[in-house]
Amino acid sequence: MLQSPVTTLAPKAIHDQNGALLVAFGNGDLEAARALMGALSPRVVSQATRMLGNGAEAEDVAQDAFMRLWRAASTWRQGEARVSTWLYRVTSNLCIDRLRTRRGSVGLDDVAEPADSTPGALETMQTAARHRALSNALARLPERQAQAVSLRHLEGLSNPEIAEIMEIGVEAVESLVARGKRALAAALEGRKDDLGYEDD
Amino acid sequence: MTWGMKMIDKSATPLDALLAEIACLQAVPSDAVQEKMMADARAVVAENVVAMAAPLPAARGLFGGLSALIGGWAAVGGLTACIALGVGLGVSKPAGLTGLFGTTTQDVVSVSLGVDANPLSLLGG
Repeated sequence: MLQSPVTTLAPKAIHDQNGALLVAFGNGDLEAARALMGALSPRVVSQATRMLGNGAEAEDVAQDAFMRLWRAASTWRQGEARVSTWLYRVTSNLCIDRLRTRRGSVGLDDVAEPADSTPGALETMQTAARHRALSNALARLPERQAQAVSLRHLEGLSNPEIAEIMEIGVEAVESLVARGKRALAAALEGRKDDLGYEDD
Repeated sequence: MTWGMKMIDKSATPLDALLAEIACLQAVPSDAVQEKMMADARAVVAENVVAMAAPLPAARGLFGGLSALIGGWAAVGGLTACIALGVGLGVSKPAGLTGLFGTTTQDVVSVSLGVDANPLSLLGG
């Protein structure tokens, strides 16, 4: 049975909690680190995988991002910034660094596909192929466009939140997202039949 | 790493629908990477503990503190030499300076200005 995750805390309360956990870790509380990792590592790994199109690299990036978070804990001032925003920014920058070193070497079908347990072999293969194609198309976008599209449509962040992470204006975010989506649509245009998705 | 899936809204454009489909996938980091993250956390805590437990510099004592204030024992040595030279010049009567400023007596140095220095003579009295 597919279902959405249940969140019992309001967003602001969650952010405050993350900040408090980070401060606690800065004071030596390892259980606080474990709680932070549990809350944030899936999002970090997801974001990195979507930007890089490679699960193993995404986990390397996630480990690197969390190492930076651990080192920042001792000087973290709660209330000045959100831990999640900080992590998004660090993860994005790490992914961009990796993308720059391998720009152009990612083939359209080179990405490890996510596991899929839904019934129907053909549907399963087509679902995996769609995901793989989108991940690769994202990895081939200019870094800033890929970052903006990923944060907007895959992480579900608002434009002001993305502007804060990318340290640009809201209008610049909207422009990057629009251009990124146009490029993605063009990249996937010729593969609609293969990927098994239909026009409106 | 494993993924979970959820229902999506199919009424959007194909790209939006595909993006929404991917967005519903939430990666679960592998046990291995989670262990690495916690190992890194333990290492950082250990580093912080070592940094806080580092011993304070040993007390130097009065003279040690003063020498550090001046600039070390080399500076103290130079300053001592200068003081000794100055005191020596002050109490001794260097022969080389005798002809330059006038005659010297046991305790008084008299200087010739080339004029009659009697103030009364200057007044015409």
